[in-house]
Amino acid sequence: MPIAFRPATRSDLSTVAWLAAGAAASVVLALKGVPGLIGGCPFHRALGLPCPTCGTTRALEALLAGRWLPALALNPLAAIALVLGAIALLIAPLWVLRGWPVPSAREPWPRSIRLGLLAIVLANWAYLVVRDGGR
Amino acid sequence: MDQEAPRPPEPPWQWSSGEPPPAPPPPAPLLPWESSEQPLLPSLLSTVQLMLRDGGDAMQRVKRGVGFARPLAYAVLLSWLGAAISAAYQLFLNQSLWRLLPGLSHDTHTEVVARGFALLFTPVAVAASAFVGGGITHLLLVLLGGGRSGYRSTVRVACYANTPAVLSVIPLVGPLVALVWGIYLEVRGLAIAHEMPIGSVLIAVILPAVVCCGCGVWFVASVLGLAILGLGSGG
Repeated sequence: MPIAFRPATRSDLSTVAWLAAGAAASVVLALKGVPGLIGGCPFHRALGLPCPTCGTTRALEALLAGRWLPALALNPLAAIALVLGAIALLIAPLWVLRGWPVPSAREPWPRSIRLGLLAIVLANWAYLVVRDGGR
Repeated sequence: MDQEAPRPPEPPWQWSSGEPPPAPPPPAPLLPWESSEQPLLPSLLSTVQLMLRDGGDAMQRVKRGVGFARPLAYAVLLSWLGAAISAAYQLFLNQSLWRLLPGLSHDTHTEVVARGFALLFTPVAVAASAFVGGGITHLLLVLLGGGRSGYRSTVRVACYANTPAVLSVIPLVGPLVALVWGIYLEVRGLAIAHEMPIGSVLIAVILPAVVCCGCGVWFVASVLGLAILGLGSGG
């Protein structure tokens, strides 16, 4: 793996804080639905097919309401990523404050990993398309 | 018979004439906005001028892999300014239009409140777009085999690529010009920051907008959460 571990620095803490703020801002914007900012999915409107991330906002709402299975059904990859991301956002500040080594990927990722990630995204997309049945 | 031992070949970086090796090129000067020598307003203006006049040179000057505060403040300031002026003239244009078409009902109060609300949220939207949108782009850069300067560099470039937002003050065509120019700046900046080919960067910048629309923000916010501890940050 092209991931090395390095000591945590103060700038890691600021990265965590900024990213948490950005994520929180996105949550507010998506859930409050600022008019004109996030409407329906233009990809879905134009082609009649869900985009790879369709259902993510609804999955977030379902997760916040504690409905885990419906969230998974709406967009499995997004639901898993949301849960893991939330956990990571919670533990990251403590991790950095404790000075534990943080991962740092300096080299390009190997082709196999990149193709694997792409395959996961495509499989998730295929699931969304099949589930919607062209609706 | 004594023979002179063959001389080992000289390394290519040594000059046989005894001249010193050429000095590495000096680092590009910092962006005025990132240097603390100038007062705030002049540094803002000269950075905007530089970005609009020579985007490539300006993006060379963006520091890599350091803090977010300055670039984010820059992006918020310019976007808010563009949005505020654009909202004002749109309100004015709409009023003129409704006066010409008195038969149609129009609630000015609602429009003012909606535009004010949108202005209030502009800084939030800019922050979300920089960190989460930058995250989407960075993820794609990594998948395309690049992004070695790290997530922070991507976000910094994304912030400075907001410069053309000031062009939104131009009625009608301004926002469109700002959008295209912003994409150009972002592509140039990311290609420079991550030392990647323009084509790959273009895919990383355009693809999320085309395929993932607006709904991808959550997905990447989460993935970035996992990578939050500096994955690809390069220190």
